[in-house]
Amino acid sequence: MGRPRVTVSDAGSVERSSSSEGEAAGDDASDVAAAAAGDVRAFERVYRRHVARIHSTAVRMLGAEEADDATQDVFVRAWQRLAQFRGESAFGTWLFRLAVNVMLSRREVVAIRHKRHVDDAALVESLSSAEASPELGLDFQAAIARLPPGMRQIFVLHDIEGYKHDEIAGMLGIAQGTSKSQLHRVRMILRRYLGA
Amino acid sequence: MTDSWTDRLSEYVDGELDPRTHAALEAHLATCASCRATRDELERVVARARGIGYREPATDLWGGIETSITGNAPRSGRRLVTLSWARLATAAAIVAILAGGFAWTLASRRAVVVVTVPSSPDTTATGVRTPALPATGMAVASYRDAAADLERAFEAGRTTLRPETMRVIEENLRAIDLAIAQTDSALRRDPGSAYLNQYLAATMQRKLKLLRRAVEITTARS
Repeated sequence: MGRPRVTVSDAGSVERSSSSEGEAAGDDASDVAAAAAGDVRAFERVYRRHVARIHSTAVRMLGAEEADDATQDVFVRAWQRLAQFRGESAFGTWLFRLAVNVMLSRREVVAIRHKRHVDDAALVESLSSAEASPELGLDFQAAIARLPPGMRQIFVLHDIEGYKHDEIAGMLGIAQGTSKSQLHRVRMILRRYLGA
Repeated sequence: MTDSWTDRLSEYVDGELDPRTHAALEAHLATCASCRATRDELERVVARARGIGYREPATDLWGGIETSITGNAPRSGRRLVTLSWARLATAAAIVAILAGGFAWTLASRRAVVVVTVPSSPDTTATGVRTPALPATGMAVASYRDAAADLERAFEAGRTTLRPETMRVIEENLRAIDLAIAQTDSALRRDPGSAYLNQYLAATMQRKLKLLRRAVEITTARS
């Protein structure tokens, strides 16, 4: 199951998360209980602990232009559903799963709005031929952002967030084999951007 | 360069191969420099992905969230079930409000919904930024009836339009209908999404505007 690994400071530098998941879970437990009783300040603390992961994932799954609205939507939905959180998993796990569901719902509308009929094959081809077109100048994360949505979501969920193929297959409504083959395809593309 | 083993390298890197296949691939790697290089690159991709961090949003989003949730205590345990018709009626209400209210609201009185819009002009129940809305309650009729009325009026006058005009209108209507159907499909999986409801409402509004414009054109030509 997915879990956070590192955080990025305001200055943008990548840091290993110093607070353990157990610590965050302990903080969450009391704040989530208070928030469920209507304590907005407690919910703000929950928001501040989790917003970086949710927003970063939204950027990767939906694009930067959708990320702010999606993040707000996730936390408003979380607030509305706090009573459904039974503590059977860590709150962060529950929240992230909720976030992924919200983002997967939004991606359909985003795709409609952006006339999803962007030629995925052409997109993959343009990324795959980066060696022949070094002037493309994409770095690793920019290359992720350029991936077709379906491939990008599989990569984000598996390689960045640590979900397993069976979980991803369930979330995206695809076969496990599709998740595996698409992931391999993405990795074969992204290896061209390792040096950037 | 690729060979028959290349497509299995991600599974190898992830430790997902069965022992027999794993051993066979290891034996192959011992003799194939190309596959070893690809394996190394795939491992670096995975390591790079795992090292990607999380970044705070550039702007603090809490204000919008707080506005949305203040005064709206978390719901108690039972999950709300929103029926499709209820969604449609809510969306239709938003359509009418966004459109500022039109005569078609009088066309049907069978499914009247009263909606009270929050007084804050910049945020909705989700905190998602939307155009300013009038801060009054408003009675509206159903979108379906309004669209049907306009479609009938449009059909009655379509012979007055040039073929190319008809083609443009019909293509746009098909695109809008597709967007409505896809959004409604997304709402069936995520019925509580205010974002989807708003998008559905906005798309319905687009259809009504287009139909109204088409009817105006046919009326002017008749």
